[in-house]
This record gives sequence, structure tokens and C-alpha cells, in this order.
Amino acid sequence: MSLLVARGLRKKYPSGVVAVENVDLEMDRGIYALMGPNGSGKTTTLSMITGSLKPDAGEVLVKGYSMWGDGWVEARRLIGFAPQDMPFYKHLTAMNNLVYYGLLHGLSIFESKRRGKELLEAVGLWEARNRQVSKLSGGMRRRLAIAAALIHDPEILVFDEPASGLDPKAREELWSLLITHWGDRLIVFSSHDGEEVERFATQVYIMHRGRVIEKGEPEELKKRYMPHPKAAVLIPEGEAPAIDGVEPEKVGMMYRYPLERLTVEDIVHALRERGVRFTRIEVVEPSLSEVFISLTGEKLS
Amino acid sequence: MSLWQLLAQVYSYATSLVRSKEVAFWVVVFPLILLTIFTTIFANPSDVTVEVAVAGEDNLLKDVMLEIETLSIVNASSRDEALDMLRNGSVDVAVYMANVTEQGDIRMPSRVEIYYLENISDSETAARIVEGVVSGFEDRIREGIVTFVEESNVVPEQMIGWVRFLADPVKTVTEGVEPRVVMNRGGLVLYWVISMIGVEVLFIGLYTGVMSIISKKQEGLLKVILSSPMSSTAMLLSDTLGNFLAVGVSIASIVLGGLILGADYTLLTPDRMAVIIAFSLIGSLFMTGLGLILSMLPKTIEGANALANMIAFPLMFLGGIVIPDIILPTYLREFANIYPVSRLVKSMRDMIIYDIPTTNLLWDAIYGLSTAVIIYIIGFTVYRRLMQRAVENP
Repeated sequence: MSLLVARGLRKKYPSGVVAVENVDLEMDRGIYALMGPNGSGKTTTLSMITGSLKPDAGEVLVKGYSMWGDGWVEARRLIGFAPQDMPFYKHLTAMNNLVYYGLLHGLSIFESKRRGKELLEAVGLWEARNRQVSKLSGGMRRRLAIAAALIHDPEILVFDEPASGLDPKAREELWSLLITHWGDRLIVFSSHDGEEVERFATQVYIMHRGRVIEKGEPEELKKRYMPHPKAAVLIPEGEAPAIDGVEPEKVGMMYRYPLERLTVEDIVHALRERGVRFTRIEVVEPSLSEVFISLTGEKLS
Repeated sequence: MSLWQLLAQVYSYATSLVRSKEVAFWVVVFPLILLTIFTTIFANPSDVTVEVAVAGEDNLLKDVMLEIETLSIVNASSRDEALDMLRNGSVDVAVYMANVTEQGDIRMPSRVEIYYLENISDSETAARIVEGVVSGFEDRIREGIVTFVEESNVVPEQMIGWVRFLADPVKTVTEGVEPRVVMNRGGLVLYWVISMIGVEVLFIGLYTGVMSIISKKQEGLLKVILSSPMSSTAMLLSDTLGNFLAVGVSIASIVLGGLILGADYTLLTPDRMAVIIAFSLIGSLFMTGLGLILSMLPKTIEGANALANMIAFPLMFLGGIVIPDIILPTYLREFANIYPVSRLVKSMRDMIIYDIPTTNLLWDAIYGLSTAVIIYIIGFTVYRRLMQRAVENP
């Protein structure tokens, strides 16, 4: 039995926007990413699988317990959720907030304090335990959010854009922390950063306009949709021609030629010969961002 | 639902009292400020004075009035001047000594006109006080007549009884009986202590109810709560318990403030203290329920604040909590009798001021508790519906 299963999830908002349509997920231990641009339905999907938003259709099963049925308490006990902007009582200290979250999840005040101490030490915030949350930096608050999501020792961790707003170093530290201490659990996160997903996820669900359009391991997806690097050419005016029968892919003002049969020199030579003016040419290595472009013709972010 | 979940909001309120200046201000400092202001202005019994404009040639009755400490006499040269002073609010009552009879140096009024401002209860009360003085003066004259008749032997002894009766056919004696405590400083401060407890019960309960969902929603906490194993019932009960804690802390602060300001706590026996605590919790439950019902209206925290203020301040003054119901218009007195918090506060005050046994308050307790439970249940239904809406359409 998979740890987390979602079938046929659908959500339409009162404004008429269908945020999520027919989304299926099946997740076991590992690090799973929901990757897509803003508005693709990632946050809505995460909200539904954590129980904070009821789907119009579909079901969510957490270790067999229905999120919206009789087993809703057990299902929620198994999940620790940190939304993008984790809400804390800003005038309370880091420790106060963790105790509060512990009580919310049914832990005793003593157990909450004990767990709080463990987690603050693990995330490197023990020295700041008596500092008000309003005085913590963005990186510290993200680490506190991880601690709060883990206070009741869940098997599944769900993070919405965990590294949002963090500089690369802080992001690296955050993920290092997660993987080192809790990498043996199921971690689900959402991101519009292809590089982050590529680096840390073991499985990816690619979302676009409310649907899952592809899923798989990052390397596998890259091999499938971008087995070779591409040359990206910026042509300010006019269109890019086909070169040796290879049609370019247009993304914004950039045109991309796969470097499977062509070389960069071939492309430069052909464009000059045809009098096509270009201002930049660069080699784009295979990446999940490029996979997304290949699948949708749109940029990831 | 676990007991610890019920304590989640209690914990956040308790720690907020220590960590948040804003919370500490509204729960601890604000009632002390109000208590100090009201006791400073209204808890000094010797300050009651009736301003009287007196016109006319009499000096006998005027001399009597001058001796009475409660009356502050202002001389007017004519009836018109006295009436002008009354109309412009300079005095509470105008008195005109018409038809003065002279005997040597003594000038006695045979007709006294007393004027007061219509529809102004203070003026009317002042006029009654002056009437009382004049009536007392008349009694002294009558007694003088009867004594003269007795001593002069003009009337046979067996007729003296008739003479007394003819001089004063029905002798009425009207005396004020002071309530046990209210007229001294300690009693007045205690009166305001109970009033401020009523104010805090009103404010804290109402704000807790109105803000219960909207504040969590706007701060993003609702999302996390909905994804936790905490049910909406547990959340509401937790909020209500937190409310009780805040009310309890506030009461403690007010009682301590009252002690410093000189409240007379000798009347606060353990059973009376238990009544005050019980009535406060009942009132708090009612106001929380009312707040929950109102919580379906505002869409933002600012809107919720405005709504709560709009309801709380009028209730505070017009519901008989701060202003005694005896000086309210009749229709507001009826409202104060129905509105549970006013009724409970009045019961607490009456228990102290009129030394009413606690057992006499049973009907008020039943009334308060039953209305509180009904309103709370309705509020709970509204709360559940709003939570359902939040999880379906955030």
C-alpha cells in the first residue's frame, strides 16, 4: 500500500476557475515534487492532500485512511504540513509556537516541549528558542516551519515552496537538513524552480493548468524529452528558419535547435547565410525547466 | 478530541498575556484605566450638590436652606432671573418666594414656587429634594403652632388632639434609607469593580467570538488547523476556554485594582465571590456565542474589529453595565432586564449593595445560563458552517 494516494482530484473555485482537474498521485517513501509555474494547481493540490481544502471530486488516502472519511483523524496525524508562509504567532517565541503546534496535534505540553527541544536542536535554532518569531530571519523561520511540521513526528512531510525567498546558500542548508534528518520519510514539495526539483526530488509530477501532464524521475524525464542539449538563439526580428530539415522550437523570442544532428557552428553559419540577424546564441543543457518547455511551450517561471 | 487540543488556544492566550503588549493592555491595563477613571469621577459621595437659584423677599426659609450642605444657594434678583439661570443650566432648581408676609424683621413665604427642567431627571430629582426641605420647614411651623396652642391654654386640654390633627391632618414622614454600602467610598469603588468585570466579560467574549475564524483565516492559521487532527468542535471549545482564561485574568486585575483604590471587600464572602466568578463565566459564554453569530458578517479582521466595537460600546453604556439602570429610560431598562450580561451584572451589584442572599439569585442564574447556552449553541452552528465553507471554498 502506498503511503499517499490521490485519485481524480478536482477543484473549481467560485470564480469559475478550475484549479485542479483529474489529478492522480501515488507516493511512497522518497522526495516527490509537484513542479509547475504559478497558477498550475500545485498549492491547491497540496491543500487537498493535506486536508485543508476539500476537493469537489476525488479521494485522498493516507496509508489507507481516507482524508475526508471516517479515518480523517488518523490521516491528518500522518501528515505534517508547512504552507508557503507558515503561520506563527509573531509575538511568541520559537519554542512557544512549537508547543502550540504540538498541542494542536494532540501532544501533551510536556511532550510538545520535549519534541520542540529536539527539533530546535536538529534545525539549528536552539539558541534562538526564546526569541520572538518576529525577530527571526526568513531562513530561520523556514527552519522553524520544518520543525513545526515535524512536531508530531509524521510519516509524511508536505512543504509548499519550501525554499521560496531563500538565497542559494540558505536553500542548500535547508535541503541538507531535511534530507539528513528526515530523508527516509515521504517528503512532498511544490516548486516552480526546475533546478531545485532536479537536485532534490526523486520523483516529479509536472503540472500545467491544473493537470498532471507528466511524471517520473528527473533523469528519466530529461532523457525522454531532452536527450540532447539545445542551442538557443535570440532573434529580435523575423523568424528562425529550419536548418537541414530541423525546425526550431520557439520560446518567447528565443529559438531552440536540438544539437542532436546540428552543431552550434552549423547553426551560426546557416543563419548568417540566410541573412537572419541574431544577438545571442547559447547552449542549453538538458534540465527539467527545458523538459517543461518541451511539453508545454511555456516557461516554468 | 484530546484534552491537550482543548488547551491549545488556552496556551496561546496565556503566553500572549506575557509576550504581547497588546494583549496584556486589553486584558489587564484597559480595565484598570476604566476603573480608575470611573471611581475618580463617581466614587466620592460628598460631591453630590444641588444648585438652587433663590429669588424673593423671604429670609426665613432661605436661612433654613442655607444651612443644608447638599444645597448650594445662588441669589437671583427676580423670578425671571432665577428661571433664566435654570434654563441655561447654571442651576438645577429655581425657587421663587412669592407672597411674603412680614412680621418685624422676619419675612415669611406663604407661597413657594419650585421650578425644574422638564425631561431632565437630575433637575426633577433636585426639585424633589427642595420640596423635601420646604416640607420639613412646614412641619417645623406646624409643630410650633401646636406647641403655642398647648402652652397658651387657649384650647381645652381634651381638644389638643383635634388641634394637632387639624394642624397636620396626615403627618407623613419620608426618610431615605441608605443602602448598606453604596454611599461610602469603599462601596462605590466596589460597585465600579463589578461594573468593570461586566465590561470585560462583554468585550473579551464578543471579540473572541467575532474574531474566532476571521483572524485565523487572515493569518493563515486556519489552513494549518484544518490539516491537523483537531476538529472544529475542539477548536471552538479551545477558543472558549482561552476566553475564560482571559476573563479570569482580567477579573483578577480588576479586583486587585479595586483593592488599591479602596474597595470594601469585607462583603465579598466566598459564596459571593463564587457567584461573581460563575456569573462572569456565564456572561462570557453568552457574549462568545453572540460574537460567533456575528462572525458571519465581516470578511476581514478590520471589519470584525469595527463590528465588535460597534456592538460593544453601546451595550456597555446603554445596557446598564456601566450606567446604573435606574437612570436609564424605561425602554432601556426593559432591555437591560432581558440582556443577560446586564442582568447578571445587576444581580452581582445588588448582591453587594442590598445584601441580597446568594440563594435569591437563582432565577437570574438560570435565566443567564439558559440564554447563554442557547446563544452559544446557535453560535456554534454558525461556526461549524463557516468552517465548512472555509474548507470547501477558502
